[in-house]
Amino acid sequence: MSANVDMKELYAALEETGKVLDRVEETGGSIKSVERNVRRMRGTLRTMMIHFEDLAALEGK
Amino acid sequence: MVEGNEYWNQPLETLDFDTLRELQLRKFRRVYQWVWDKSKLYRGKYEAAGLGRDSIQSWEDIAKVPLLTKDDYRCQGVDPFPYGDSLCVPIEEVTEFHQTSGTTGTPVYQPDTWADWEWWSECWATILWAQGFRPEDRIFIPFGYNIFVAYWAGHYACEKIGCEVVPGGVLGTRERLEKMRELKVNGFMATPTYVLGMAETAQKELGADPKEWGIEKILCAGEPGALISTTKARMEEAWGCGVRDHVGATEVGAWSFECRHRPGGLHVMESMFLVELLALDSDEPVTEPGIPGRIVITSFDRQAQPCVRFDTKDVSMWKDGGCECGRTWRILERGVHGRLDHITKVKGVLFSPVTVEEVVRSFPELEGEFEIVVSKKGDLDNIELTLEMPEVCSEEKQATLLDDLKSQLRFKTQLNFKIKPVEFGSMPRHQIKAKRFHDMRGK
Repeated sequence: MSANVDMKELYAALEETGKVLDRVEETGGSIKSVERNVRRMRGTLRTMMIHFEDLAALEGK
Repeated sequence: MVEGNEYWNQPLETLDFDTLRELQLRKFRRVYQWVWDKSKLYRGKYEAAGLGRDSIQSWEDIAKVPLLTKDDYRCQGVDPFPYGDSLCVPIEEVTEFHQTSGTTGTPVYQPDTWADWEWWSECWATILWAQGFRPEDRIFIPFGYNIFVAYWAGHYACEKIGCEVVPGGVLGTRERLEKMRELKVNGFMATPTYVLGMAETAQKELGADPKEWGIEKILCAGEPGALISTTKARMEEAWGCGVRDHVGATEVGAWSFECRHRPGGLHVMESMFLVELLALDSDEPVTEPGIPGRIVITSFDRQAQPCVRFDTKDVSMWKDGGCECGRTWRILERGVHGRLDHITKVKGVLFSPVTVEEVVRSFPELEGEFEIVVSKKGDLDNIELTLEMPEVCSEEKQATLLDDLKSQLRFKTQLNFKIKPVEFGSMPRHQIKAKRFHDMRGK
């Protein structure tokens, strides 16, 4: 199914990205621009996570 | 052989049948529980049907979930303002407002979060990529950007793909055409009616042949015309390039498209949506190809106001076989055939207005607008077609043309039409959704 992409690894990388965004928000969230841009980036990140979350779970089942 | 570059998201577009079904069941369960937790409207409907939060365990359970209609949205409260009980996120998370066109009644409001808006453009990017839109393209959008969602998501998806997008906003048709020619755009998106109207304006007001402008791709949405063979042929002849269809809805999202391999219908984006066909006169599922059913859709991944088993009241049927593009998503043969409330019996015969468009557009001389009105005269149904005649047409030629048209209409619909010819240009031109069918019986 995966076009030579390891879905579990891809999804893990997306989760890591989410954790990096957490860190950015924790560090600079008191700056409005940081807070709002992180929120926007989370929206974009979610678009990829919803695609690959289930594929990662189904891979190798 | 199909290459990887054919797809926007190859893993999702080429899933094997069993994995796709498993993915859909997981996603359905998730969105069902989301609306159960977040929306009074949904929870109320489900509790009334005897369903609980964990009631969805199998495909058979999905069929027990009550259908959602536009009236459900219309009949709820407005708190939080203006969305009411269907809103599934805190109001401060809503970043986009749109509304339906109101073609079938009071418009429905549609909130979206930023994540939803990214999801919209992701769905549209899937469609545009499948139709051959690429980063090197310069795309013009001749759309009056406003409260309707149509083409907004197309604009954002062009950006996401990497196309250079030219917003044709509040310009008039002539100014839009001049800008398209000046910037040498190579693609655009519009309703079929407007695609034809633009070609007409280019020829008559600019004295230009749009075939010579280097347009390579046109995406159509908003009306069924791009999958009506005669209308498609007319658009492709006028612009000298391929025209592809897409069907979406404000409440649902962008859920289907015609790929560039011309599958004879619409691919359903089954990794993002569950599309079911139900029998026209019951809620029984239609799974066999070739049998008409009404389209019921669930959008899996939207947050603010997702639709779960939304009854679109549009009609289509499954197509047998796949497509040479290699996508495993099923195909709805000839796309959307019409609305359930437009497919009606006239003089005892089942009638679809789409057939009239197919016949009218097969006459090259008939380039103008038309309108169908069904009414009652006493106890009898009366069907009348008002039609613009060619600009230059002798009485003799007009009489022959009308005879031929009437005969073709009778052949295709089994109905005798009263035809009312009117002067070319005397009927309104539509830019968003042409409403050409009016059933006045009982009104």
